Amino acid sequence: MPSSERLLRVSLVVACVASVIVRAQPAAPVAADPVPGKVTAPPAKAAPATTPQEAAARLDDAKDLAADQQGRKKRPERDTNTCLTCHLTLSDTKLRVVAEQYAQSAHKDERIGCAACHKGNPLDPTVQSHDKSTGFVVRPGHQQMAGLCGGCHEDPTFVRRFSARLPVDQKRLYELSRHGKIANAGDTHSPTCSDCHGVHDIQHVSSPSAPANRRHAAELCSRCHADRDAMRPYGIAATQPDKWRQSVHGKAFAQGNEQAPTCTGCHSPHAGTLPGTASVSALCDRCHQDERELFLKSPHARAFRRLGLPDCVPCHGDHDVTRSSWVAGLAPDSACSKCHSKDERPREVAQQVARMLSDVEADEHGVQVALDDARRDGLYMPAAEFARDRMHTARIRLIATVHTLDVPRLQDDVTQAKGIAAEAQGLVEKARRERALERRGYFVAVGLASLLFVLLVLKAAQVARRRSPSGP
Amino acid sequence: MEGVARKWFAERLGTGALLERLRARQVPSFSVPQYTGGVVIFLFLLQVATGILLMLPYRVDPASANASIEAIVGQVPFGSLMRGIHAWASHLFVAAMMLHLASVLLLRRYRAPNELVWLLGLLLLLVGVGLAFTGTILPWNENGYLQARVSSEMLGQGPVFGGFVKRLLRGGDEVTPWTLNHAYGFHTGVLPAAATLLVLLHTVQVHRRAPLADPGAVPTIPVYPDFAVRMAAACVGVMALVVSLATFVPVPIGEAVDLRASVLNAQPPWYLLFAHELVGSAPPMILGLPSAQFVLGALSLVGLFAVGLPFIDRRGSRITLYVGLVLIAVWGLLTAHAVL
Repeated sequence: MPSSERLLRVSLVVACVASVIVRAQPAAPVAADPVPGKVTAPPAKAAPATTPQEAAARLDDAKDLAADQQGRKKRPERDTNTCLTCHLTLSDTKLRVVAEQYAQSAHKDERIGCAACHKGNPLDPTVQSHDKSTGFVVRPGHQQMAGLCGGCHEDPTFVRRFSARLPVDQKRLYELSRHGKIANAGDTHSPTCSDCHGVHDIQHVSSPSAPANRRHAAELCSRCHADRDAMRPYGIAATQPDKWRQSVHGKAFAQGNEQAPTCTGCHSPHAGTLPGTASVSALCDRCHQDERELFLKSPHARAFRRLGLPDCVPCHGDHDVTRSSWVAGLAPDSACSKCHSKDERPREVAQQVARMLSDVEADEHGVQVALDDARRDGLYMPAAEFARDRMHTARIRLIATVHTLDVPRLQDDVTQAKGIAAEAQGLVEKARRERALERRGYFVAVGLASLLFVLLVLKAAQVARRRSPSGP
Repeated sequence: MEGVARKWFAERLGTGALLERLRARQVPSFSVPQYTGGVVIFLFLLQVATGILLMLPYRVDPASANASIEAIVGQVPFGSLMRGIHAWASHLFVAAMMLHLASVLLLRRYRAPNELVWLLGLLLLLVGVGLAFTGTILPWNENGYLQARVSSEMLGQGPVFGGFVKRLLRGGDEVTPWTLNHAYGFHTGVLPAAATLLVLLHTVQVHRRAPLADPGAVPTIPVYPDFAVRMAAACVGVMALVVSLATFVPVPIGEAVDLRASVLNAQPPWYLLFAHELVGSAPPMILGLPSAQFVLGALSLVGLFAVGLPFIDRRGSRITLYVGLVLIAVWGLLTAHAVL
C-alpha cells in the first residue's frame, strides 16, 4: 500500500509541474487576428464551407454542457462571427447599431451568430461574406420570421444547451393562434416573433427591459389593440386595454401587485385563445376557484346555462372587472338590475347582499382606522392586528359566499365577520382604557412622589435646625 | 410594641452601631460628586430591578427578539412602563456618570488618597457605557443591528486588544445570531455583575478615605440623617423624572432586522456620537494609519492619560485642569455637531 501511495504522490507532483511548465509557454498563435476595421483577405484554409449552426451541431453536446456547468467559457479556436469585427466599427449608424444591439442581446453567444438568421459566411472577415451565393439575406421576410426563430427555438437539443427552462412549443402555438393564422394567410399587419420580442436587441422575457416582459404586456398589446383604425378590419373594438386599466386587475397591477393579471394572465402569449375557452369565464377559476365552485351551486348557474350565458362575465365583465361590492345591489347600472329590473324576490336578495357587503366593508375600514390611530399613540396590539387580518379573510369569504345567493349562509358569514370586528374594536378600547388608567396612575404616583419630596425636604430642614443650636 | 420590634431587629442587625457611625461621619453639606454618584447608584439599582422584570418576557432569538419587545409593550401588564423606565434610566445613567466624572475631574477629587477610587470609577464608566450600549442591540431592530456592526468594527480598530474586543462583542468574526446572544449575556450577566462589584469597591473606598481635602474649610453635615434625607429627596426627584419620560415619550421599538433590506443609516446612541463623528469627519488616512485606527489610538491615549492623572497631577499646577476642560469641550462640540 505505501508504495502505491508514493507512486500516486509522485505522479501528482509530476502532473502539477508539467501543467505549470505548459502554462508558462507562450500560447502559440492559432490564427492571426484580423485587424479591426481593416478588411483583409481570408487565410486560405480558414474557410470551411460550414455555417455556425452546422458547426454547433457538430460540437459534442455532452462536453459542451459539462463545460457550461463548470462555468468554463467555451472558447472556439477561431472567431466564428467576424461580422461584429467590422460592423461594430462602421461609421454608418444603421449598420453599426444592429451589431451593438446584438452584442447586448440574449443571443450574444458564440453558438448563435449573426449568420444564424442572416446566413452568409461569418468566418469570412471580408465583404465577400455577404455574397448572395452564401444564402445571405439582408432582412428576413415577415412570413419567414416564425420559421427562422423556430429553427432554433423548436429544437430541444439546441435550446437545452442554454436553458433547461426555455419552452420549445412557441412556434407551433403561434401557428394555432389568430395572429399566426392571419400571418400565414399573408396578412403582413399580423404580429410575428420580432414584433413583440424585438429584433437584434432581444432580451430574455424575464428581463425587465424586455418589451415582452409581463410588466410591459399591456403597453405591448396596446400598440395594436388600442389603435381603432388598425383593429377595424378585424372587427375588434380596440377598447380592451383601456377597460383593463380601469378594472380591479389593471388598478392592482398599476399599484405594483405582481400577481394581478395583465393581458397575458388570461390570453396565452403565443397561442392566443386556449382550447375550450369560448368565453374568458372558463379562465377565472384559475385564480378564483372558490367563487366558481360556490357559483355552480347557486340558482344562477342553472339559469345561465339555460340562457346560454357564460358563468362569470354577465355580472363581472371581462376586461373591465370591477370591485365586487359594486356588482351587487339595485343601482340602475348594477349587475343585478341588468336582469332583475322588476322581480320581487331577487331584488330583495340583491338589496340584502349589497347591504351586507357594504356593512362588513365599513366594519373592516373602522377596525383599520382604530388600529392606525392606536399605533400613532404608541399602543402595540398584536392580538388586535391579528383580528384585523382575520376580519379581512372573513370579508373575502363573505364575497365568495355571495356567489351562492344563499341568504342564511351569508348571514352566518356576516355574523362571524362582525364578531371579529367587535373583538378587534374591543381590544383597541381595552388598550385605550388601560392607557387612560395608566395615565391616572401616573398622576397619582407623581402626586405622591411630590408629597414625599416635600416631606423629605421639610425633614432635611428639621434635622438641620435641630442640630444647628448645638452644632459647630 | 413597635419599639420592641425595632429594638429586637436593631440588636441582631447591629443597625444601632452603624447608625451611630453614620451620625458621627461628616460630609460636605453640598458636593456635586456626592449627589451625582448617589444618583448613578440609584439609577443602576432601578435598571437592575426593571431589567430583571424585562428578562422574563424577552426572547433571545433573532427571529423573535423584536416581536417579544412588541409584546412587552403591547401585552405584558406594565411592560410599556417597565421598558420605558429601563430605557430612559439608561440614558440618564450614562449622563449622570459623565456629570459625576466631570465634577470629580474639575474639583480634582482624584488626587491622593483617592487614586483607587478614581481608577475604579474609570472602569465603572467603561462598564456603564458597555451596559447601555449592549442594551441598544437587544431589540434586534435595524439600528441596533447596524450599531452592533459599525461600533464593533470601530472597536476592532483599537490598539492591542481591538481584535479581541470585536470578536468578544460579535461572538465570532461576523455579526451573527451569536452577536445577539453575546449582547444579552453581557447586558444581563457579565456587565451587571462587574458593575455591582465595582460600585461596592468604589463606594467602600469613598467611605473609607476622607473625601475632604481640607476638613473644616467647608460646612459639613452628618451622613445620617441629614445627607441620607437629602439623597432620598434627590432620588425621588430623579424617579419622578424617569417615570414622566417613560410615560410621555415612548421609546421606539424599531423595525425588526431585515437582512434583505438595503443598508440604512446607523444612528449611534448620543454618548458614542463623538467617536463616530471623529472617525466620520477624519480624512481616510492619518499619519499612515486608517482614520478609525488613529482615532481609537488617540482615544486610548486619552484613557491612559486619565489613568495616570492622579499620579502626574502636581499640587499648584493647573495644566491637568485645562486638559480636562479642553477634553470636555471637545466632547461637547463633537456631540453637538453630530446632533445638529
